[in-house]
Amino acid sequence: MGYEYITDNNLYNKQNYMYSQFKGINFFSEYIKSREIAEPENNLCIYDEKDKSKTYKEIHHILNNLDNYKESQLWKLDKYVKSFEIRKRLYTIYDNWKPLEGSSFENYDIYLIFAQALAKAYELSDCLKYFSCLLKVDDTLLSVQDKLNKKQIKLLQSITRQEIKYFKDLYKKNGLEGEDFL
Amino acid sequence: MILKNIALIAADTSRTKAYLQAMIMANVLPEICIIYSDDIQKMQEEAKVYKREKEVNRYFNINEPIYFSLEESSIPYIEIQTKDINSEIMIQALKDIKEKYLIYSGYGGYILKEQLFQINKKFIHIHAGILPQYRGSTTAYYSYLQEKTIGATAIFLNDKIDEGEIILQENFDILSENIEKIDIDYIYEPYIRSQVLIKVLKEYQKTGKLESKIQESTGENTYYIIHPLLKHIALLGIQKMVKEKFK
Repeated sequence: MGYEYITDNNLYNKQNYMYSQFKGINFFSEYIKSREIAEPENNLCIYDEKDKSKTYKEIHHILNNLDNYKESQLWKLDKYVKSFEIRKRLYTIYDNWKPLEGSSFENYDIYLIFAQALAKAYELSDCLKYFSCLLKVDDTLLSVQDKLNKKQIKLLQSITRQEIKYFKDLYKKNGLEGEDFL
Repeated sequence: MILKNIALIAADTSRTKAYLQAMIMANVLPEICIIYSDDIQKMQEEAKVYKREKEVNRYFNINEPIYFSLEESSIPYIEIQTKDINSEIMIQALKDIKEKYLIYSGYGGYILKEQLFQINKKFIHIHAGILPQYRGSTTAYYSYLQEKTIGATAIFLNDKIDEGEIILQENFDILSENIEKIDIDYIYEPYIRSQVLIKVLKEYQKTGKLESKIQESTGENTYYIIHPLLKHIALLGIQKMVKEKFK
């Protein structure tokens, strides 16, 4: 059995990840295979500013300010982390952290910018809750990759490449070595 | 020894088994146990057919039914046919018992509602993480990956998740455990919680009271269910390091 956390659409088939089964060392190969979209080269991501949804703009703002105002921006990002972890979706508009009626959860640009913010947050804080959340967001994006446009696919390739790098670093840091995928 | 004013709220889980067996072994017993499940009959039947295993378990015996442990140690119990800690029948049952301190070993996914904090009882909960740094879920894995230790904290529950006053907390060195494979979810995590619980009960036995302090407001962090990839790194990392240490 392959990597089982990417369905034909995770936004509808929500993954709860609780008590996930231990599958041994083979799980890592399954994971790498699930990320075959990843770009081999290190290309800079281009942030899309055309999207006008409130959530996108807020996350974009957090991402742009993470370097200079780390604590306050992580605090803001944590609200989105909580919302995504609970609902496994991000909505275009929230009212007091509840999705506003009529707001959409299928705006893929929001998930892409959120993934970039999580990657940045992980790099700055070393806190694994951001990496864990990034993996779930990427599972979600990979589940809907047939619905993404070319620019979005390009971004996803770049994000998954970054994600694999974090995985390999953490893998080695924990004394694990000698596998083909490294 | 039976501890006055102490009751155990017991869901049908591995955590309850760890708590109960540790309490029996340390001889710090609750006055009463409230067993709650949506299938009490099944729990009873499991105990009827169970035969004590000869092999002594390193942590606790996950196969030993809750009823079996209770009967063997003559701990009085009442049974409530529900899984919902917030149900009317549960609230009434908790109101009706005389004990003030209730050790909470409930089902995952249930959060105690406000009404339960208005019945003049104190809920003792053991969280599998050092607080306030490791609030939330699956913190044993995060804590191991980030600090190479796994902790547990005894708190009095309040209406905010993992934010209650701290009774005591302790870190455990999982890498000192000479075992080939470790099940954190169902064995090691319930076990370390049970060890912290025993410390709390021993303190209560000695002093007749339980003191607590408000959580510090610095370093607080909330975690969510860990992604399976990180869980695999943690489990295989532990295996590898233990193997190297004891080879």
